[in-house]
Amino acid sequence: MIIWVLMVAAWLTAWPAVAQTTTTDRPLAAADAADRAEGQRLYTAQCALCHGIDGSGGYGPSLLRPTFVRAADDAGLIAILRAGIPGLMPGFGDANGARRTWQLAAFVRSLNGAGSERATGNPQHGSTLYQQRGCAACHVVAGVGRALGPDLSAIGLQRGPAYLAEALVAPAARVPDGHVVVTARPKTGAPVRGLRVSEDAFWVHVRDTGGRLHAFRVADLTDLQREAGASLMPSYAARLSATDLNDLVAYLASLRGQR
Amino acid sequence: MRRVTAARAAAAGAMIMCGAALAAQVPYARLVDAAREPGVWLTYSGAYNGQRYSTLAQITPVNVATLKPAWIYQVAGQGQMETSAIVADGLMYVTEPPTTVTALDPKNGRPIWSYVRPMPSNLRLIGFPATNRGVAILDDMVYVGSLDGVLVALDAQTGAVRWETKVADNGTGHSITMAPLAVKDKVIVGISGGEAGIRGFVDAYEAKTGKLAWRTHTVPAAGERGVETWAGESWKTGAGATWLTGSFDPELNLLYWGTGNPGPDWNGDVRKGDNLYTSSVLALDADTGAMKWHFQYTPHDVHDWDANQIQVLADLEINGRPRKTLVTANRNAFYYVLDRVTGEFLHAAPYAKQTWAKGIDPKGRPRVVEGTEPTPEGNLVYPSLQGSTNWPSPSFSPQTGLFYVPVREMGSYYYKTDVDYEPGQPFTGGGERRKADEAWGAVRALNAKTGAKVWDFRLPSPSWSGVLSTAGGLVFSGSNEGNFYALDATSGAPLWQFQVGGMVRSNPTTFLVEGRQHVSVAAGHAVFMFALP
Repeated sequence: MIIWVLMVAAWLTAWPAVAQTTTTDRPLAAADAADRAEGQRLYTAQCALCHGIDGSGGYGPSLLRPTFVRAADDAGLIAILRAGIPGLMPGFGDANGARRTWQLAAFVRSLNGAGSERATGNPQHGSTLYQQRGCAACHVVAGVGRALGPDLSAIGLQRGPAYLAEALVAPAARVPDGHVVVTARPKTGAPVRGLRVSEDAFWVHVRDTGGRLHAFRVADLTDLQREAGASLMPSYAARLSATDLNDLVAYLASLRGQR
Repeated sequence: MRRVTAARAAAAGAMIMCGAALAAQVPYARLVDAAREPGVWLTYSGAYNGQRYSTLAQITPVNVATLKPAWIYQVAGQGQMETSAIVADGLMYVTEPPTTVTALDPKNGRPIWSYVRPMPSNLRLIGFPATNRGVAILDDMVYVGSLDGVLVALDAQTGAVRWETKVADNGTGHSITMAPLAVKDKVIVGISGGEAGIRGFVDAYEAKTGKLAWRTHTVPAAGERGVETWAGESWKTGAGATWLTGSFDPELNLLYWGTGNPGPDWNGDVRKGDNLYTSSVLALDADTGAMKWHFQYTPHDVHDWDANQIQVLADLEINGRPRKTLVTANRNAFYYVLDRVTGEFLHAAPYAKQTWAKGIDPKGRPRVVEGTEPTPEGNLVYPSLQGSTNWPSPSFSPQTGLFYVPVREMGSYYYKTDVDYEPGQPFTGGGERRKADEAWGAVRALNAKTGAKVWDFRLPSPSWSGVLSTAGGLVFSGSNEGNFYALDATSGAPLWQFQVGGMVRSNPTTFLVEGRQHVSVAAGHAVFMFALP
C-alpha cells in the first residue's frame, strides 16, 4: 500500500499539470461506465490498430491478460500510454489530456475482466470447497498445488467475480492465452492428450493431464489435433450449488498474492 | 531502349576505370547484372527482378543436413530484426532497430562500423513497429531510410555520413522502414504512413547529392486524372503508402512499385470510389517517375490489403507464348500474372483461403461478395487484416518454375467505426479481431504460371518469414517459433533446421564467403550465418 502511494506521488510529481483535485488521481478500478466508454472510444481510434479491436492482439500483444509485464500498476500503465515503449509502441504524450489518458488506461485495465464489482459469497467456505473439490490438483495457490492450469495466487487482483464464475461454469469460454488443448498421435505408441506447452515446425511438447511432459518430433506424428476453444478443466456448473459457486468465487477473489 | 544500352555501357566503362583504384565499388552495371554475380547480394531481393533466387549450388539436398552456424551477431538495441542483408566486396550491411546500419565482416561476424541514428522522443510510428528492412548500395555509398523520415547516404567503407535529405515529416506519421533501391544514378525510396492518412508517393533522389529528382504521388490531386475515384476531398488523406522495395526492369526502364491501402483503412464510406492508385502496382519511368501504367488489385479496399508485396519479374510462357510477366501473391489471397510491358491482366487465382471475392473477372477486377465489408458489429472475412501474405519476400525459382510464398491462413472479424482525421494520429476507421484459434501458416509452392498449389510446408502460425530459393534445389525460410530451415525445392520435404531462439521475421540471403556458399538470416535480435563444415 505504501509503495502504491509512493508510485502515485511520483506520478503526480512527474506531471504537475495533473491537479490533485481531478479524477485522475483515483485508482483506475474506480472508473465508471462513462469513463470506460470514453476510454474505449480512444482505444478504438489509437490502440486497436495493433492490439485488436477487443484487445485480443494483432501486431501488438494481447491485452486480455491478467497482468502487464511492463505496467505493474496504474501509474505504470498511464506512463506507457504517455511515453510509449521505446522501439515498440508509440506514446501519445499530452495529446489526449490527463483525464482522457486516465479513461483510456481504465478501459485498457478493464479488458482483463477484473472489473470493479465485489464478490458477495463466503470466502472461508469457498476456501474449504477449494480444498475439498481438488482444485489444487491443477492449480497453485501460494506455492501449494500442481501447476497444470494457471497460478491462482493473485487471481483476485487479475480477474473479477463475474469472470471467475464463468471460468468455473464454462471453462472453455475463458481459456487463458496460450492454453491450447491438443491430442498428439505418434506413428508408434499411444495418443497423448494434454496442454500444448510448446510447438514449432519440427517439435511439439505436450503436458498430459497427469503432469508428464512429452516431446514429439513432428515427423514422428501422424496427427496433431488442436481442440479450438477447449479446456482441460471440467465445468463445475453441475458440481456446485449456486451458493457454493458464489463462495468459491469469493475465495478466489480474495486471493491477492503476497504483496 | 537505345539509351538504356548506352547507359549500361558507360557504367561498365566506369567500373573498368575505377575498379583497380577503389574497393567496394558497386556501379549500376553490377546491379543490372546482379543475378549473374551470385557471390554477392547487391539489392534487397538479390536482383532487380525481385526473385530472391540464387544460382549458387554448393549447398544441396544431399549436404544441407550438415549446415552449421558459422557465427552469430547480436544487437544491443530493442525491437525485432527485419533486415535483409546486402553483401558486397567483403562487407555485409545489416540494419538494426530503430535506424542503425552496421557493416560486418562476413567471414567472422565482427562489426567494422555502425551508423546509429538517434530518434526523437516524439517519434510517430503509426501502424508498424520500430524496424528497418535494409540498405541499398551504389558505387561507394550505402543508403538507409530512417524512422523519422530521412534518407541518409553513408560511406560504404567507414559509415561516414555523406548527406541527409528529409523525405517527409514524421510529425504527420510519415516514416521509412523499407530498403531503398538504387537505380542508375538515383536512389528510389518509398514511405510508410498508410494508417496516418498521408498521401503516398515514390521519390527518386540524386545518389551523389541527395537532391530530389522526381516525386510521383500514388493518389492523384484535384484536377489530376484518377481523382474522380475519390469522393469529395477524400484524396487528401488517401494514403497509398509505398513501404516496401519495388522491382526494376532495366530493359524497359520501368520501376514496379506496390502501393498500400486507402485511408482510412476500414471505413470506406468516407472515400467512395475505386480510390486510385491504392492497393495497386505502378509502372514508373525510372528517369522521370512518369506513370506508364497501373493495375489496381483491390479497388476500394476496405480490409487494409496493401499491395506492397514484392512484385516479381519473371519471363514465363503463358498460353504457349513467352511473356515478360510481373507475378505477385497479393495480400488479398489472389495470385496475379500481369504483362509487365503493358500492364495487361493475364491471370489470377486464389492461393489461400478467402471469402471476399467470387473470383477475378477477365479485366482483373475482383467480383466482390456482397456483405463482406467491415461493420460496427464485426464481420468475419478471410484473409485477416495482415493478409494471406505480407511484406516477407516470396521467391521464384526459374529452375523449378515454382513461386514460393510465405502464407498466413487466418480470418478476422472486421470492424468499422467513425473516424476523423487529425495530423499525426491513427486514421483507420475500425479494426480487427483475429480469429487466431484456427490460424496457421505455410511455405507454399505455387505453379508460377497458374498459381495452383504444388506443395505446402506447414507452420504452427501465420508466417512472417521471407523465402529464398537456390539453384542447389533448396528453399530456405523461417517460422515465428524460431525455426530456420531448408526444404527440397521440388517436393517441400524438410531437410535441415536450426532453432535460432527468436522469431524469424526477415528475408534469408545467400552469397560466397572466401569461395564457400553461406546462408544468412536475421532473427530475434541477432544475425545468423550458416555454412557447410
